[in-house]
Amino acid sequence: MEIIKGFSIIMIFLFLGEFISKGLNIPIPGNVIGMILLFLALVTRIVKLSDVENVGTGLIKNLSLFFVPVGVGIILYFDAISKNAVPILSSIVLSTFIVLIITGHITQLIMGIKKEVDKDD
Amino acid sequence: MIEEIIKSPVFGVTVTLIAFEIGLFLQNRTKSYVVNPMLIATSLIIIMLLTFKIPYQNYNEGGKYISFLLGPATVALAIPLYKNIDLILKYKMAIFVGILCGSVAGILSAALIASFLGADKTIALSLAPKSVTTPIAIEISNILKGYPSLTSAAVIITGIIGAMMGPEVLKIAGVNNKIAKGIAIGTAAHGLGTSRAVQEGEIEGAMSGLAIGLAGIITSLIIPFIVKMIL
Repeated sequence: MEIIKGFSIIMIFLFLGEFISKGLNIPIPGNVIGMILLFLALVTRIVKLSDVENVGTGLIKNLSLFFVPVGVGIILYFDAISKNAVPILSSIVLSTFIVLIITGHITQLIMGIKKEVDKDD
Repeated sequence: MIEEIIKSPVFGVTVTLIAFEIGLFLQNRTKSYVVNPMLIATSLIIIMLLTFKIPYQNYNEGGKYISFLLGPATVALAIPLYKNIDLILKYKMAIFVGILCGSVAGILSAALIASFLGADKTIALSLAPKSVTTPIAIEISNILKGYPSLTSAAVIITGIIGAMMGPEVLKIAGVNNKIAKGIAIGTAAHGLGTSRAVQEGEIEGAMSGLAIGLAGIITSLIIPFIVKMIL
C-alpha cells in the first residue's frame, strides 16, 4: 500500500507538471516542472517526505535503466550524423568536457571564496 | 509467431532488462566505471536490432514502457533536492554562477568547434543546445532553425559521454567537491549524466538534478543572443 501511495503522489506531481507545461505552452518539460512542484510541496510540508521517500529513491536508483530505450533511439539518427561525423562528434565530445570542467571549477572556486568569507565573520 | 512477439511490448521490455542485467554483471566483474551498464545495454540492443533488421519502432513498443518511468523518476529527484536544501541555499551563488558560466561555455564551444571543423551554420546551431534536456533542446533547435532530429541525437550522445566519463574527467581536472561535481554533471549532461551522478552519491545526484532544470532554463534564455554574436 505504501508503494501505491508514494507512486500516486509522484504521478500527481508529474500530471500537474505536464498540465502546466502543455497548458501554458512553455518549453520546460513537464517532469522538470513536476520536480520543482514536489520540491515546493516537501518544503511547505504539504507532502510528507516519508510518503514518497521509498518509491522515489527506488525510481532514482534505476534512472540509468530508464534511459536505455532513449539511447537506442540514436539508431534513428545514424544517417544524419554520418554525413558530418567528424565535426559533429568532435564538437559534442570536446564541448561536453569543456562544460564539465568550467562548471565544476567555477562552482568550486566560488564555494571556496564563500567559505573563506564565512570564516572571517 | 516470432514476428508477432517482436511486435509486442514483451520483446522490448524483456530485451532491455536482460541487456541491462548483462551490463550490471560486466560492471561488477570489471569494477570499471567506463563499463557502464546503460552504455552496454544500449550497444547490445543496437547491434541486435541492426543484425536482425528489427525496426526501432518494434523495439520501442516495449521500450516506451521502460522510458515512461523517466517521468516519475525525474519528479522524484525533488527528494534528494529537499534533503539537501540547506546546502543549496548556502551555496546558491556558487551554484547559479557555475551553471551560468558552464551553459555559456557549452553553447559557444559546441557551435564554434563544429563551425571550425567545417560544419555548416544549421548544423552548428543544432549542436548549440546539446547539453540540456531533450524537450528544451528541441524547442531551442526549432527556434534557432536548426535540425531538431540532429539536436535529439546530439543530446543523447552528450548524455552518454557525461554518464560514461563525467566523474573521471572532473577528477582529472581537480574538481573534488561533491556539490561542484553534481552541478557540473547535470549542466553538461542533463538527465543521462544525472543517472550516473546519483550512483556517485546523494549530494551529487541532488545537485545534478537541480542543474538539469536550471541549466535548461538559463540556456533557453541566453542562447538566441549568443548564437547571434558568433554565427
